[in-house]
Amino acid sequence: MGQIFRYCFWDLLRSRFILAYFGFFLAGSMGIFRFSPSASAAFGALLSAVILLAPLCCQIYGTLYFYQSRGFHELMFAQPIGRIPLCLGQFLALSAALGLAFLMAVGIPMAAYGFSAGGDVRLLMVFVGGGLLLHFIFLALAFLVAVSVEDRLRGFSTSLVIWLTLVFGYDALVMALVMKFSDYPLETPVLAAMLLNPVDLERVLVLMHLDSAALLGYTGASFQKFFGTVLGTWVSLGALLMWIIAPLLLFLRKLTRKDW
Amino acid sequence: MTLPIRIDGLCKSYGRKSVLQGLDLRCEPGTVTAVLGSNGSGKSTLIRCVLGLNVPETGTIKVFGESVSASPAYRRHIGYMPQHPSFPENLTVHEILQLVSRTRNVAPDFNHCASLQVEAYLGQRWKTLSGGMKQRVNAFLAMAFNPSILILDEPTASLDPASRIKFMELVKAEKQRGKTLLFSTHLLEDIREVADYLVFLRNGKAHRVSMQRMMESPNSLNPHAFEQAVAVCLEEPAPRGA
Amino acid sequence: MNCENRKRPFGLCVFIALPFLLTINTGWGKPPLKHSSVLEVGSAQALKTLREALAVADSGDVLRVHPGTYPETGLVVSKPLTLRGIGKPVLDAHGLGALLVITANDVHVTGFVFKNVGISYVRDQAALGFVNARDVRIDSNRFDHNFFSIYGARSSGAFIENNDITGLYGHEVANGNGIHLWQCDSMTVRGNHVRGHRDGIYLEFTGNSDVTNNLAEGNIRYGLHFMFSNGSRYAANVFRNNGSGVAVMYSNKIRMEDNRFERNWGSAAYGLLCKGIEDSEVRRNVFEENTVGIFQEGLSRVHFEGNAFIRNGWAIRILADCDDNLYEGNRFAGNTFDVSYNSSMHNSNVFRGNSWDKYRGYDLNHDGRGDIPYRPVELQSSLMDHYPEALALMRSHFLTLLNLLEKQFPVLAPKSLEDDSPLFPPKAGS
Repeated sequence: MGQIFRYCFWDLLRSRFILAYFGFFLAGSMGIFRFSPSASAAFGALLSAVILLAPLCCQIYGTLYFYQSRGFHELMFAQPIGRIPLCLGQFLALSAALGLAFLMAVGIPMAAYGFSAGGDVRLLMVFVGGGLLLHFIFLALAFLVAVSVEDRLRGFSTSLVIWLTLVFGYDALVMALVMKFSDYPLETPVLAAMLLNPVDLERVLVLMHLDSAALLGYTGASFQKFFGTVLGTWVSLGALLMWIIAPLLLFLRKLTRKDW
Repeated sequence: MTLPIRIDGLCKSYGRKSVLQGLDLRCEPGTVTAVLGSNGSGKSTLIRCVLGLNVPETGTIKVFGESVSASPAYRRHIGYMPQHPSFPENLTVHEILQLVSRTRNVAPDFNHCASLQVEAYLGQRWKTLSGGMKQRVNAFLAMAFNPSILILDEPTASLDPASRIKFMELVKAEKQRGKTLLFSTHLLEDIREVADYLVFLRNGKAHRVSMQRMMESPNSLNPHAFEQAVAVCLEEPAPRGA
Repeated sequence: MNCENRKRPFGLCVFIALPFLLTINTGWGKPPLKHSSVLEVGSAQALKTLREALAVADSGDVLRVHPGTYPETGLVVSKPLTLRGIGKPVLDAHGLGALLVITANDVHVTGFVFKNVGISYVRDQAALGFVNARDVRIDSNRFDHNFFSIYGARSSGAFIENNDITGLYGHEVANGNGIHLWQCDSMTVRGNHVRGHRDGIYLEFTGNSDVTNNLAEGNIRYGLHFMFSNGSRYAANVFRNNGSGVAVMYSNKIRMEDNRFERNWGSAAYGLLCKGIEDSEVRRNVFEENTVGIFQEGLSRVHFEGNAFIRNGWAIRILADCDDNLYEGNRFAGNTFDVSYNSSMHNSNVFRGNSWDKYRGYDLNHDGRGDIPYRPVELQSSLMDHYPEALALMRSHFLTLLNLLEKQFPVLAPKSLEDDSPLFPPKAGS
């Protein structure tokens, strides 16, 4: 696994897609930090970009990457190395490469413009850490799709549907339910709903550290109460990790049973 | 004696379609076995099961006594040449060789297949290689780590005649080195040149005939006798002398 | 909202202190000091304490109190006197009762430090009180760590100026107000700095007054809080970082001008909460970084003009019981939501000629007004009004999408709630 990781990572560092991803995010965050009136506004704008684009890029590129590895898999699976170490190595390499691109793309402007997140270390950790986890989550989902769906076209559309669902559809559903059951106390169910979708969770986690947190708490304090506590932090982290672990386990299960 | 390849009662189906139904096969050391069969008869499936690419339903496959379902380590004995290999495209040929060599824990032997001239483009990235170069790297990877068994899936199907001749030279050389070969093919010329045994796949079972026996058939004076015999074997129920 | 403040007339406190005072006044028949218009008070003077001085002073006298700390409680000024602190003498209640009560007209208190009036759950115990007094003047004093700092009741014509007031910073219940005026009239509160109290400045049944140039920050509840106080003017004050901002209720003919409402962030915080205000004017104020710039309930005929709303959560939240208010020439920039309105049917409020940074129209005839109306009530903010839980979806891309749609097909806000002459181009951001 270590060898596979090393070579695949080295390969990805020279890949045009990763470079483009890095360049695009770098330009975007440079612009945002340059023209935002406050750190809070900058992080708000950056958050919007991250929760929209990171899932999309990871989902689509992850799927593509796995499909393109087909010939590599066929050759390597006939070598004295297991499927799991091989594909985990690839997953880690891809995660590391995209994660590094993201990290540098938001880190360089922060350093350049002296933004220390308004001195809020926790905001920085939540934004960067959560952003990284989002990358890993959607790469894991992408691998799961690619190993499950043989036909590439169907694979890509499945990936797109997953992205649409988690970024738009899920929130539409939550909104619909909130409207339907508006006579009931909904704070806790909505809180739970936010915990279950990684995109929403990252968004809420970052919002809690921005000025907008006050708006979130406008109707009640349960969000602040929950996310402000140590328990809330661990539960959120656990929820995000589950979104990596569960698809990855399913992926590995399918991988070992699949005919190549 | 532990055979290089020994298959007992191998069954494999895809969905409802049953492809291999209790297939038995043995490959003795130093022999060359060619697998023949009509399209969809399970040639690739058989080969992929031995490689571990496909997962058998029932039956056992042993390579030098090691079961293929136990650990991937048995594949150190095997060199494989897939039809369409690919690699992370930004790696150089050198890095690819390094990667495979590290997973096999064996250094590649450049003298072994010097005719492939892989050394000439060690520094090139995979994505810049031409199709022919890729095939050469592919063949090199199969042979350069000196495995005891070579498995080839329709190796000459996509080669032009000149390359095919060169490639068959390599295969013959491997045979002379005492390697055990298993390959699938449609081309009878390949078989005639190197095969010791023919394996016909029919109804999910394997029927093995030695080349000697095929050549000894009554119409040996007929220039097309071999082809006719093969055609007969592919159509008819099991030949008695398998 | 705030009925606990009005429960107890201040007289009780005086009543308790009175018998004690009387004994001093009549008990010993000392030979009176030679009458002078200036009495010197201090450890090195003939009059050692303020209490002694008050006992012997006559109307019109000036008491010059020299530097030092005077442990006192329950002092009463019952004659028109001038109390002048020289070098900031300290009156320290040591956590016991009230410090000084004025019950006479024309009293002037200046240059003192009032300290450590203790918490009382039964009395509105204050450092400096005045009851039934006309034309009292309280200026240039410092108030530190008192339950209530200045407390006036049933008085008129007082000047409260340039005092520096710091409260207890404690919990709302165990904390009094900085400047508390009840049933007064024609008061002037000017240039004071109030922090750490429950309400910085509090006026109830106190009309025709002028509250100007004060700075109220870091108060636990409201920076300014007034109720039933008609005809008053609030100008050039700064209200910053108070628990829930400024609350004005049940008053009419109010003028609020040139104030700044800043950084009142928090759940249930607003720059300005208006409730039951009529025939009033709100001009040239700046609302910056508040959860809600102005929250409006039951407002009628109020004229909002030339205000700036910058980087608030909501610039304005209007409940549908607000009628005939006019919003003209205001500037909206960087707010999450500009206006929310909780009805999709009726509206009689008018928006015109405001500057909206979110306006995406054009001005073909170059008259400085956009040619298409601006609809300030976004779908998002309406949704949040009806379904507050939906706030959890803030900044989600689903809502962004929905907002784009509603811009094309407006459904949720009343048609009349639009600015048909928005400024073009809108004035620059923040």
